[in-house]
Amino acid sequence: MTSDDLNRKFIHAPKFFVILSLLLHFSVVLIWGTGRILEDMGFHLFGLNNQRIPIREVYQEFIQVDVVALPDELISEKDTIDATQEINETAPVQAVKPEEETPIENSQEDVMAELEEKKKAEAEAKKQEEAERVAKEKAEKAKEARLKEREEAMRQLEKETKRADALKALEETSRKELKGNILSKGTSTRGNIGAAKDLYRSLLAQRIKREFNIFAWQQKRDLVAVIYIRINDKGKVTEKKVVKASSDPLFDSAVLDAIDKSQPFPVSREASIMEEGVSIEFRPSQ
Amino acid sequence: MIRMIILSLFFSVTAFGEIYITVTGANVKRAKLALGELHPLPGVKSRNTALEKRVYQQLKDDLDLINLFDPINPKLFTDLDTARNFYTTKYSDWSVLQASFLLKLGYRMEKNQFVLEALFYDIPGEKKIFGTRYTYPPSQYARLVHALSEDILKAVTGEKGLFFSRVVMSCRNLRQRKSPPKEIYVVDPDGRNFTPLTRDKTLSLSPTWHPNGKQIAYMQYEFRGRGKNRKKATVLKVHDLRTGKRKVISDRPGMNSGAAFSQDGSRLAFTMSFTGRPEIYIVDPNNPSNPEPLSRSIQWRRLSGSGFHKNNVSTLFDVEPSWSPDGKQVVISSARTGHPMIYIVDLASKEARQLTFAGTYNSSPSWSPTGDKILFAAQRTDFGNFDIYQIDADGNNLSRLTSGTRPGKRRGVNSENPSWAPTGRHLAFSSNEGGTYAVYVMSGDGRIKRQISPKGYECHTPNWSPSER
Repeated sequence: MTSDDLNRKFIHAPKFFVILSLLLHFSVVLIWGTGRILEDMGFHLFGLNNQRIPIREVYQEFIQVDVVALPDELISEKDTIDATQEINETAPVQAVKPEEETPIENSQEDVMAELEEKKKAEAEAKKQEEAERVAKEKAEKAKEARLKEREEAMRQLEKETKRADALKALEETSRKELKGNILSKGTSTRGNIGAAKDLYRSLLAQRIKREFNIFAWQQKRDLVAVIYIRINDKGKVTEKKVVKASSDPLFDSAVLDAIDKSQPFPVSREASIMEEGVSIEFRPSQ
Repeated sequence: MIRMIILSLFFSVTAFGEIYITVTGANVKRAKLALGELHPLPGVKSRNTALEKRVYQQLKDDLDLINLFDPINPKLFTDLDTARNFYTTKYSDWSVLQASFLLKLGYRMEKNQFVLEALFYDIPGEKKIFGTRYTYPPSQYARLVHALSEDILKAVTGEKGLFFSRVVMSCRNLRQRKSPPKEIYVVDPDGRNFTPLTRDKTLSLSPTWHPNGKQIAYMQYEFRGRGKNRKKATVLKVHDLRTGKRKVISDRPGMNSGAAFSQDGSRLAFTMSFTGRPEIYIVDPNNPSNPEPLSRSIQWRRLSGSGFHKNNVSTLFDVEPSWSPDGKQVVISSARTGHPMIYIVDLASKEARQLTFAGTYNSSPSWSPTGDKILFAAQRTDFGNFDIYQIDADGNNLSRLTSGTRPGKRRGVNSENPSWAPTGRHLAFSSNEGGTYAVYVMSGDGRIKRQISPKGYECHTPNWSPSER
């Protein structure tokens, strides 16, 4: 058999069958597609409705444990945001001789109850003070000196904060996580715009998380705050509203602070994403 | 028409609507605290500068250990004069300084008593948190400061027991000649009141607190039996601190060690090796004759492969249990895969979950009182020393707390046997940082570390008591 014979035998099927096959394939796609759309609208063409999960929620998530080694980095090194305060290695507490357990009298009373009386006494003291003007003038001079000192300290503080900011920026650029268990949520795929959205979503979350600082005692509390923001094409916030405030005003201010400090935000090329705005839910910990 | 349907096919897959994201896992920041000077109360003329200094220093140390506050430079508010304006507070003055809290202190001496008045304010909330007068004898100034610090800790976080709790440990007095024995000692978390509990002149090891704070369980070497059968054996005992009486839990051949009480005190998990292999048993401390075997009923999944796996008794090696706060799970160190690693065992289903995978030797896990974190000591593959690590109970956020590796040396400094404080933000551990082993107290972020066992003693296996107030 020559190659021509082969071609004739297997590839040149009758035209009729080719068209039939195309038609059949197309009709299957058509029926399935309309079924899908109708299903989304609420009509169930094939009757098997209840068990089926709507397609927009079908995506795969996987958990992955990356084991490299025990981490080198110390937790204290990881968390030092405050560069103004150096990590002071406190000297070990000296051994103290065991104290004799003496029965001790101690009492704890509310000071504030007596405050009213004290205020009266204070008012009298004030009258006396007026008579002592000379002494007051002296005090004024001392105060001026103290104010000067304060200004100096303020300047120092400003310097320190600037230095801290610079250090922080440096730390962020050089930050690398090399070791440790990473339990990642994995990825989810949802078509073209879905992928762009997912990417943008994680970029935003990363950016905000870096600036999201709360107090230690808020960590274990069940606090939730939701903020809605719109971002313009320069990454600045143009609209900001509190959708849901938490029960803790300090937590809310930390949340708003995080949004302010995260500017400029990353910008997505998808115009629709930028137009619709972003709702951000804040929680202390997972 | 057909084209439209096909197009809509593609788009029906993507969900429209605004973006919704969740941000969790915030960083921790410190609250700014304006700490006023300690001065005599208004109207009081006499001063005791020496005592003043000691009280103020102790307070600074305590606030430092609490590890929540960032003190504001006092020069910034000298003009606010807390001495003169002791009972009046203008919140706007302090909010300019971005202060979260303000603490004002005044004192006077009264009939040989030291009287301290402390006023604690929430500046952003514009309210007084507490105003309390503490009256203690001057020699007890440390207790006074601890009482104040404990009040501050409780008011801000709801935690308690950082200062009014105790740490138990096993120590050897190095000043004694000829193989000094190991006795059980109890010490305050600030290193004061170091007192012996046992004087048995034998080895007393791995003490642990009962959750009621009134009993301690430990293992002792003892001569058991008579005549020919008389030999040294290990005995697990529960020591009642009020009566001084001791109760034997187990004196089976081999080891009887590593005890841990469940949070309600109704169960005691410990290691026995009378079968030749170390195995964990659970027992009712009031009725210790019938231990329930745990290790041999554990089933676990291999990383690769499916289905559950059970070990032969001859391959068991389970030690050092620690209970979860709800009493439903136990975290153990087990060498069932070869290297000792940390596992979490569910007591109802007896299913074990491997928590750590890295390093050559992971040991002595301790479950935090808040239930979310587990401390353990681990030996790395590249260095021979043990360091303390922390991991979430769900396997996330493995992080390192101590650094004992010494470059160029295979053996560095060991840090072992971590134990959580009742706050869940501090821990105690033993380390040979200073040459001999000593017990240290550390904040959970590793910022503050203090030795609490005295010099001249070699101390191991600390266990932090529950809070006492």
